[in-house]
Amino acid sequence: MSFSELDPVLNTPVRLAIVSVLIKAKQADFNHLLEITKTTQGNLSHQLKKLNEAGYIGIEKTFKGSYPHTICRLTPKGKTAFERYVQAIKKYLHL
Amino acid sequence: MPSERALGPEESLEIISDAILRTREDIRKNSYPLLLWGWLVASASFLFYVLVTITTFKYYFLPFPIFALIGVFSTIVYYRKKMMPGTQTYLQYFLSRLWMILGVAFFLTVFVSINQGLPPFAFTLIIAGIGTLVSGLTMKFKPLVWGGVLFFCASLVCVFVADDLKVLVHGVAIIAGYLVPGYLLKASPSQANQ
Repeated sequence: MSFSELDPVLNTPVRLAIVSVLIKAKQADFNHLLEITKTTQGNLSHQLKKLNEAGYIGIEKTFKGSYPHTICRLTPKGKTAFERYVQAIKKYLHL
Repeated sequence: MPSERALGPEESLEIISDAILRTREDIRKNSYPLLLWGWLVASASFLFYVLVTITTFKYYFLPFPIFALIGVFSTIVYYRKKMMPGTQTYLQYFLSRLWMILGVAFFLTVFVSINQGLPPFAFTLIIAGIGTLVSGLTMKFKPLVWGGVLFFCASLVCVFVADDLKVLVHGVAIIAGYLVPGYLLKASPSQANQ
């Protein structure tokens, strides 16, 4: 596999960072992902939606007091895709 | 961070490691239950000892169930309000479930021991030791590891001292095994285990 053939859903900075966080965390909220990805709220929402549409993450919208609270979790499909992605990078870099 | 640009392999690895590294454990959050239960159980132990040895109060055992109820209520309120789950790492999830199950084991052990006519203190110290030692090892926080070892030692001491003194050993062990590590944890750097 050449590097350009990697999973297009994961092979972008913000989406890869989101999934990387969700590998370590059982769940992560919107603010934490915003802090890690250093992107805008609008862009983060857009990227989360794409990951959700691909079936890589689940999104739960709740309320914390009177404020909306978005919680994201990695799905088994997302975990498998991430593992494949990491394997491909390692192979490419001969690690 | 640009959003749609395709990545190169080195850049991908950098993003993955950076994101994982920055999703850190704030182990200080775990100090609250230690301090709460440490103060409650130590106070109940010393009060129990005073009631047994100095007074003729018939219900000398009451500090334990009363303080336990206060502890259960306070813990539920704390986790519902202060620790509203947002970002939760697998370690935080594991530790919360571990202590929940050990809490149930603690109450069952006390119930069974009392029904068998045995002082429960040696057994409850083993349960406290398991939780404290596992927490210390997984959080990589040595004072808790030593606290857990101390609980096991205190449990053995309980076997060899008079019944009246067992609760005193229990109280001292709780101070040294829960409260001291709990305060050290509270004062530790927020990202201590990374």
